[in-house]
Amino acid sequence: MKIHVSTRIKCVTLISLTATWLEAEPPAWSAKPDREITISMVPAKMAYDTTLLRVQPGAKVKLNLKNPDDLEHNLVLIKNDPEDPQGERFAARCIELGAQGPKLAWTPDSPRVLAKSGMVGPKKEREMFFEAPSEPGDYPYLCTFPGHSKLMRGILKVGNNDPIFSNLSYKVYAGEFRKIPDFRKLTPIKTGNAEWIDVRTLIGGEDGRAILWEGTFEVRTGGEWQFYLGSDDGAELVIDGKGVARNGGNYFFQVRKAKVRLEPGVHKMRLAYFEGGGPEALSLVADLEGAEDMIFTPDITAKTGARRSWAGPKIVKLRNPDEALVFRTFLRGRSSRSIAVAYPGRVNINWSADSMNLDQLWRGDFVNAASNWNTRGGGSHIAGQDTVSPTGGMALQVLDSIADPWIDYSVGSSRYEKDKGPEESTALISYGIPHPDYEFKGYDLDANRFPTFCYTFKGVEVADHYSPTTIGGIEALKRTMVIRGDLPPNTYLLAGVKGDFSGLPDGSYKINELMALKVEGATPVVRSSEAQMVKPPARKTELVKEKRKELLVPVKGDQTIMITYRWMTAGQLDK
Amino acid sequence: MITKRIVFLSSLWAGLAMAQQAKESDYYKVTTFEIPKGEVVEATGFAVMDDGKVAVSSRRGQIWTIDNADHYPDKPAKWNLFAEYLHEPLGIAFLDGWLYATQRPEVTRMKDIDGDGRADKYETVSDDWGMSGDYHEFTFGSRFDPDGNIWTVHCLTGSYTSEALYRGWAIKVNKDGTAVPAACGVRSPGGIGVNLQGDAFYTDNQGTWNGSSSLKWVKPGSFLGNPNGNHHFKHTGNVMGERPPEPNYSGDGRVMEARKQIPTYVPPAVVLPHGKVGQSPTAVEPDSSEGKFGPFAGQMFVAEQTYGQVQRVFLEKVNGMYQGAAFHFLRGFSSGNIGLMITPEGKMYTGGSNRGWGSWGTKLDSVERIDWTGKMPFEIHQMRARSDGFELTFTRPINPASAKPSSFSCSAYTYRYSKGYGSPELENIEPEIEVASVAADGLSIRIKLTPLTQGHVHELAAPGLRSAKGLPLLHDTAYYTLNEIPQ
Repeated sequence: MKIHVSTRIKCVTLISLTATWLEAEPPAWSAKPDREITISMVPAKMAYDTTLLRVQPGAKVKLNLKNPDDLEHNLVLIKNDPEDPQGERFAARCIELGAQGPKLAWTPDSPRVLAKSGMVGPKKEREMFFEAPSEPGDYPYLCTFPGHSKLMRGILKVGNNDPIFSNLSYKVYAGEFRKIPDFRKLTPIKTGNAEWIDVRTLIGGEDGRAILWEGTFEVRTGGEWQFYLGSDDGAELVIDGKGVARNGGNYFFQVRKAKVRLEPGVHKMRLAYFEGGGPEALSLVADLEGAEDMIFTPDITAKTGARRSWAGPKIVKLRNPDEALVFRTFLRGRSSRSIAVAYPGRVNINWSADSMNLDQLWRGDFVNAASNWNTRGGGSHIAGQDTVSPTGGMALQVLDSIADPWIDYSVGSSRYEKDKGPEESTALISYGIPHPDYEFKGYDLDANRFPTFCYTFKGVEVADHYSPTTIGGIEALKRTMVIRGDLPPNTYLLAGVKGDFSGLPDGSYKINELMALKVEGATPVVRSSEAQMVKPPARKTELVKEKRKELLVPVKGDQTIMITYRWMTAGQLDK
Repeated sequence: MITKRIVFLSSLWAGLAMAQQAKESDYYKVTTFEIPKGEVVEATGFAVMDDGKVAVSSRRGQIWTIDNADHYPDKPAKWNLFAEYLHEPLGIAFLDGWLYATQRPEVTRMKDIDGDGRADKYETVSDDWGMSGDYHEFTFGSRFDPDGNIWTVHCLTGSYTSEALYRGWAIKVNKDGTAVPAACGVRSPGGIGVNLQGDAFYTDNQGTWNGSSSLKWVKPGSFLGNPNGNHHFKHTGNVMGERPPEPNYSGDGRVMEARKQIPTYVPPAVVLPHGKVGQSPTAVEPDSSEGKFGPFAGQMFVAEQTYGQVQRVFLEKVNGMYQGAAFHFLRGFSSGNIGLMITPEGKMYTGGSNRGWGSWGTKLDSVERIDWTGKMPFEIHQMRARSDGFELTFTRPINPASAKPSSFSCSAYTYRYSKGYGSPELENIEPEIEVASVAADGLSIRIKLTPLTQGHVHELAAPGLRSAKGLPLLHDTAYYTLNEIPQ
């Protein structure tokens, strides 16, 4: 009788049942390290803010780890392994610790581990001490909590760390960029010199920037160098006057690779970059077998690959060219209940379900949703151009006298501070509350999926529909408002604000240099008034007084009003 | 010669006995759906449509319907895009021909009017709460309770403060559009569901005022622990009564003390001990299958994002207070579980995402179905508090000889209730264990614990217990939150 027994009797190692991480004592040199570096975990981005550390061989290093995130993280420094240069196999071993993982701070007992921090809890800090290896080379460091190492890693470069550029200057420009601009037509807002190309310190967090770096660098070893250019948004690399690589910028962080033959000696580099909106990154590294890497930026992820492209492009496009696409999202700088709609013909709107009104219209590309589905979700940006906000705020109001100001939005306030009782709270915060006169009812999609937004104003139903059109070959938007029922006397529709409202031959009113609007179904009046408006972004909602010109349309109800918004000149839309 | 062979055989049998471990997959089979090419489905909620299709909502804003979901892969699953780019739907439900979705700005109901398979009518059921634009202000919604309400729960701003209307609150939304504030004191929810008795429960994450993550009962009118949202009381009319008194801000409070100081405070029903049961509990779902999904009919299941697991919770009411025990149920899902549903036909659907927070399941997105194989696992079935300990029932008869004190271990502990972030286990006690009685049918035992500490989590492990057939428990540890000790 044969007994097939699969005797996989696992040896359950008796790990200490106390769940605390046993900390090593700080070394004798802890008060006087050779290098002291602060590394922060970037909240919501699953990354370290420093992906490259350069130290001398044998340096005594103190790392100050800061974790402002609301997850725990760690930092583990490992030996390099040519068969696992990024430590992915090592990270997989850490995940396999499974149920033992938390007790071991997700770090196995392995000769590959050079230094480990233990888990750094949310909002906590920790010091980590180690001596850099004596052998020059690249040593990966990563967070070994399951799933984090794909993005949360860096390289410790042991070797000499002379700057690569012998001289380097930068010029920063502001504007609405969707491709590398012609810098000759622009005036920089900031210029200077730098040691290397560091986009984060120059424009970290700012949108709408282009940067031009120009400098010279020394090549020590001649050969066919492999360049890695990674950027978000776009970038263009020129060496010795010849274009090497270019990134269009409409996708998430993308890497272009190119080979360049370089003789030993001094060479010229020109690197142009633009940032439309959302996260920014620029990484440039070159390698050659047998030579030390040339690193031009503190971000080396173009070569290490520690950045994942989330599925899908950033720019949201119509699934069906004949149908509109409704996208409910946060739009940067606007009130929080934004409903963005892309129409065929590259006309787009943002309709606010807070103010129940058209908030903005623009043409060209629809929306850049990179921040939305990259890490924890941070909202979207308008990706097109020639954006106009005819009014912002509510559409309808009762003004008992034509001199009464337009009062917009509905705001509550409290004495409130974090974790303090009402008696101890001195700060006043304000926030939006539902407007008593308005109720949002939703929207219906017609045969072309064009939405008709429905709401009630003082109990009267209003249907607000939009469709794209062209006038003289130029983009325009037709708006149809159907008011079903009698409105109270002295109700006005706000059609435009702040424009000069000069009348044009076709009966339309000029809002600004970009756009004119025409009203049909009622007769508008122009007035000057000091309105009380909500100032976007509506993060802390406050009413602000604003003296301005207004285009008002008296409405009585049971009527249809049509407003046509037209751009007055052809746009420079990319195909 | 013979003696040697017997020795050899008996050591093999010993090997067999040791290797005779049941696996979860013996009892529950997981099927992973193939996501349509080019799409990302970070499953946050499930519902069954009136035509039998399974609807799944994605964190990205899409709602898909899947035909043949129950029979995949024996039949091919057909995915249809029902709605697109909603603003982060975190809970869906089907009622009377409408698909309801709780999304960031509102509870919406939608319908396909022209029959092309896509919703074209979107009605706002309720939008009576504020959003500042902060990414962390998540809003979750349950399926319908017997009175036609969806229970919504709203995360604090950043998970710490309340800078928009009703952040830190639970709001009950009726299908007719009426919205009523139901409870305050919420911190960072991960999901909300209704048990078979019609009571709502949500999961609240470890953090400020939450020593550990837990399952909390949304008792109407209650304060659930985090005081930051309480400044919105002035907007509630009188439906919630008076604003509760402030909790202990000193930094070393306790739940039992808060119960005495704050009359409307309701402690967590079942604490999910941090680092043991999980770290980020999400969806809450009752087993309505009346036995088709196995032996846990009527009990609750809680999804867990960080560990990529589903846990089980047994609930009971003692002296009017909900409490009970958490158990592990299934491990090893592909991503971080966020959505969860059990159909009356006995199918469990789950799925999720690991985007932004990392999980032991390494996939970005997932949709999975779990079927019961029909084989009965050996598990602790129910755990009830008694005046001097607990009564445990089992899904299969135990071997009475294994029901001795040395087969069990117990440690009891509590947590700080304070404005600090989380808490270690405190006031550890290891009570003495006595097996007071074993039922004749082997299906239940009485354990006596001395002392029994009100307010403490009692972590009772039974690694030495064996079924009559010699199997150890599939999951041998219960985590019981003892809010009340019965007479």
